[in-house]
Amino acid sequence: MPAPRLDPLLWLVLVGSVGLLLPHLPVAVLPIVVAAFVWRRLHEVAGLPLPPRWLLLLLAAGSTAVVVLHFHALWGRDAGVALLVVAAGLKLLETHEVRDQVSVLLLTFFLLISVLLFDQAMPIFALVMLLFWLLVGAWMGIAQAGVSTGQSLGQRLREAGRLLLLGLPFALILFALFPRPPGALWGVQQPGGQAQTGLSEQMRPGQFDELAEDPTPAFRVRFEDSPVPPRERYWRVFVMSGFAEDDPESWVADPATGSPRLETLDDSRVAYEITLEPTASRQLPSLAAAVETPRRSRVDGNLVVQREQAVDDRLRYSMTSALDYRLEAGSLPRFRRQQYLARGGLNPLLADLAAEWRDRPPAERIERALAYFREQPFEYSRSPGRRGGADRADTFLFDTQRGYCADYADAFVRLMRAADVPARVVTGYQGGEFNGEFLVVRQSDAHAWAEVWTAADGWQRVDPTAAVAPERIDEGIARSTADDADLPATVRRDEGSFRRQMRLLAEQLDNRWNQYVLGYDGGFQQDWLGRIGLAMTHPVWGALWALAIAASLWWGLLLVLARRERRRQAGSEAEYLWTRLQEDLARLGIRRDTSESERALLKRAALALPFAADDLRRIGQLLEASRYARSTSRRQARLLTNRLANVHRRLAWRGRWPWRRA
Amino acid sequence: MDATICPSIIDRTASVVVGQRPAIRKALTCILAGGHLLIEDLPGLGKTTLAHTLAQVLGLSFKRVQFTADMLPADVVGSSIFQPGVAGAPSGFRFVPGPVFTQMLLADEINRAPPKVQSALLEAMEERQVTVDGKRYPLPAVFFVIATQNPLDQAGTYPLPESQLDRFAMVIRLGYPDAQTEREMLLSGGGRAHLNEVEPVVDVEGLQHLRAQAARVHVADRIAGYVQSLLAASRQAPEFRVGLSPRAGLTLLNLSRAWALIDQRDHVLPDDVQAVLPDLVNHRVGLDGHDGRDAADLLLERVPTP
Repeated sequence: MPAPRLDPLLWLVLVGSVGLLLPHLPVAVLPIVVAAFVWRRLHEVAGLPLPPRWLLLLLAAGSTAVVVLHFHALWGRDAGVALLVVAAGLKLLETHEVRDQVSVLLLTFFLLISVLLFDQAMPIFALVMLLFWLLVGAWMGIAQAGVSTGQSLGQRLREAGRLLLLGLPFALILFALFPRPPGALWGVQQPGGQAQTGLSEQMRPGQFDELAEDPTPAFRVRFEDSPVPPRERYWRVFVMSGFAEDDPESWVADPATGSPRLETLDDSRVAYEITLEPTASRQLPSLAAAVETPRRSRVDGNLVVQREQAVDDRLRYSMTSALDYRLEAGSLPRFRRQQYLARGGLNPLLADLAAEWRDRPPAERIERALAYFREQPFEYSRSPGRRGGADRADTFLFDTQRGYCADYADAFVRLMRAADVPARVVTGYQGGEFNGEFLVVRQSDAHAWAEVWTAADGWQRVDPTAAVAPERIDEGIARSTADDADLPATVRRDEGSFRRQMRLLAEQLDNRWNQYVLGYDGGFQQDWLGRIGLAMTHPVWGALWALAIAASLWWGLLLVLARRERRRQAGSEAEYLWTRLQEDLARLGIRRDTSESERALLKRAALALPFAADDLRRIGQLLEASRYARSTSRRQARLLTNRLANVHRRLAWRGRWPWRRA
Repeated sequence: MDATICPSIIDRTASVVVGQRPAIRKALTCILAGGHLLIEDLPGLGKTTLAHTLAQVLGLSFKRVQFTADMLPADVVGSSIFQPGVAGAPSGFRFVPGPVFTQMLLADEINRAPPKVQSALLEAMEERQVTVDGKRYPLPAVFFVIATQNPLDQAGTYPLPESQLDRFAMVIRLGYPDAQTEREMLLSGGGRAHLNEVEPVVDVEGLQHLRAQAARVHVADRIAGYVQSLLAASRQAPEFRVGLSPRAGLTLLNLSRAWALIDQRDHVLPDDVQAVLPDLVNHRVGLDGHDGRDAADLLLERVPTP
C-alpha cells in the first residue's frame, strides 16, 4: 500500500529549495536527489514500492562519500548543505506515515534557510520568504492530517500568512536589537575564490579593457556632506612602482609600508561612507589622502588604506579624507628615489624623447609630457586593439597612439622616469554615477593614473588620460564612449532608455537592501542604537534587552489581537462590553448564577453598587431590548455601548487590589 | 384591544378569587397561549371559583362536568339520539351536544373517570373537535379546559399518565391562601357570593385578538436557543424518567410569549421562560422533587441563561 501522499505544498517547497541550491551542489549529488524525488513520486502515483532499507543505507553511504570526495570535508557550508539535500531526498524514500513527513518538513526548513547562506540578494530573499510561507502552510496540513475537518489549501495559506504576520514584529525587533557579532551578518566563511573580479595587484595595459565592460557595482559611496566634484573622484586602491619579475611590462602593487609623511589642510576634509563589494584583497578604496580610517585598517606610506583582513564579505565603512595634502614633500630618501626611477624594458624612442627634457625643471618636464599627449593625435579608446610585445610603450607613443587609461598611465610614468622625475602608477576607480543619494562606482569605472614627485609639492596626481580625453574625467567613461554600441546599457549613458531607468531603480532598491538590511552589522547596530540612546554596554545585556523589548511589544500586540478576537466572538461591541461588565461584577463578588437572567443580575448589582445603580438599570433595559427585541435603533445600540463602557471604566480598577474594595 | 387589558382581567378575577393572583395569571397565560390547564389540589381551595370567574371576566360560556367512575364518553362529548318524526318531520338521529361544547369547561376530578372518558376529553382538547358516529362537530373557536385532580384521594381513580399530562400546557397547584387573605375571606363570606355581579372585561372577539397578539410576540434566536438547550438538558438529566417532547418545547415558547404579553412586552425575555418553566416541566418528566428542588430548578441550574 503506498504511503500517504506528501503534502503538495511540501513538495513544492522541497523542489523549490533544492532548485535554488542547485548551482552550489556537486554534480554527482544531483542524480541521487533527482532519483529520490522521482522514486517517491512514482510510489505515490503508481504504487512503486519504496526501496528496501539496505539500499537506502547504501545510497546514504554512497552520497556521503561523493560529498567527501568533492569537498574533502564533511563540515563547512558547501559540504553541509550538500549532505542536507541528500538527506532530504533519502528521507522521502523512508517516509511511510503522515507523521514522518514532519522530518521532511524540518529538513526542508533547513534547506530553505541554507539558500540564504549562498546569496542574500533581495529577490532571493523574497523568494525564500514566499517558500517559507508555503512551508508553514504545509506544516499546518501535516499537523491536521487525519483530522476530519482539515482546512483547504487556501485556508491553510491564509492561516499561515496570519501566523507569519504575527511573528513579524518579533522578528523585526530581534533583527534590529539583538546584538550582532562584529563583521558580516552571515558569519559563514566564504572561500576567497568567490570574490568579485576587479582590480588586481598587477597591472598590464590591456587588462583594464575587460573591466570596462563590467557594469557590476564595485562599491557605493554616500557623502556625509556635499559630494566632491567629479574631478576629485579618484578612488585610490593600489600604488605601483615596480615591475613583475618575469614581465617588465606589468606593474606590481607595492607592499604596505609604514605611515605616510603627510601635511593636510583641515578645511578640505570630506567624510563619506562606502559599501564595498567583496574584493578578496585587503585594500579599501579611498579618496585623496585618507586621514581617518575604519577600525582594523590603517593608511600606509603610499596613502593606500590597508585592512587587516581581506574583504571577503560586503563591507561598509566610514572614512574621512583630505583633498588638499602634501605627501613626502621636500626630500625623498635615495633608495626610494631609485625605486621610483627604475625603468622596465628599453623603450629607446621613449628614452630619447624624455632625454630632451632632462635639463628643464621638473614641473616643466611634466608639462612637456602632458603637452606631448595633447598635441599628438592620441585617441582615447576602450578597445585600442593591437599592442606591441616588448617596448610596448614605444609602440603606443609613436605608432598606434590609441589606448585606454592604463596605456596612458603606463607610458606617462615611463616617460617621467626616463626624464628623471620619480613617478609611479596608481590604480583604482574614477568617477561614479549618482543614484539617489548614493554614488555608484562600477567595475567599468576602473582607472589608472600617475603620480609624480617634486620636491616642492611631494607626490602629485597627474592623469594623462585627462589630457587626451578630459570628458573621461569630467563625465565618466560612458560619456566619452557613448557611441560605442558594445557597451552594456548601464555603462552607456543614454538617459532616455527605459531599460536603463528600470535598471537604475532596481539598483537603488538593491542598494537600500545592501545598505540597511545586509549591511546592518554590529558596527552599524551600535551606531544606530547609540543614536537613539540605547547603546549597549555588553552583548548579554543587549540580548536581554532585545528579548525583553520584543517580548513586551509582542505581548501588547497579542493582547490587542485577543481583544479583537473576543470582540469578534461576542458578535457586537455591546455583547463584548457586556461580557467585560459581567467579569467586573464577578470580581466584585456579584457572580451571575447559571439561571440568573440579565435583569436579575443587574438588579442585584444595582443594589450592591448604588453609585452605578442608575446606569445598571438603564443597561438592563437597553440590553434586553438589544438582545431580545425584534429590532433596536442604532441610537439605542450606541446608548448601550456608551453606558456599558462607562460602567466598565468605573468598575475596571475596583476589586483588583484587596485594599480597594468596591 | 391591546395588552394593557391584561392587568384588569387579572385584577377583576382576583377581586373574586381572593389570594390567588399567581394562579390567575398562569391560567390567563394558558388561555392566551391556547393551552389547557390542570389544577392539582385539594377540594375547597377555589378551583371552581377560579374557573367560573375567569369565564365570567372573559365573557366566555362556562360548563362544568363532575367526573365519576361510571361515566361514558358520551356524557362528555354528547350523543346521537333517535327522534321520532313529529309533525311531518322525518324521524332520525339527532346529535345532542355534550358539556364539552362550551368555551370554558371545568372538568372536575378528571382522574375519577375511566380512561375511555379521559381519552375522549383529551382528544377533544387536542383536536378542538368531536367526532360522533363518524360525524365531526367542531368546538367553539375559544375552547379552554381547566381540569382538576385530587392528588390525595387516589383509591378507585385512574391517574393521568405522563403522556396524557403532556396535553396540558400547565399543571399548577393553588395552595392555601395566606393568613391575611384567609381572614378577609372568612369575614366576607368568600368571593363566590359576588360571582354573579362580575362584569366581563373583554368579549370573545377581544380575547381572540389578544391570542393573536400573543402569537406575534417576538422570540429572539437567543431565546429559541435557550429553550432548545433546556429541552436537550431535560433529555440528558439522569434524574428525569422522560425528557421534554418537542411539543413541550413549542408549548414553552407559546406560554413564554403569553407571559411576556401580560407584561405588555412584544418580545420574550429569559425571565419569561423561567417564569413559566416550572409549571410546564414538573409533571412532564416524572420527577416530583429531588433534594428539595424540583425539575425546573435542576434544568435552570444546568443551562446557562443567555
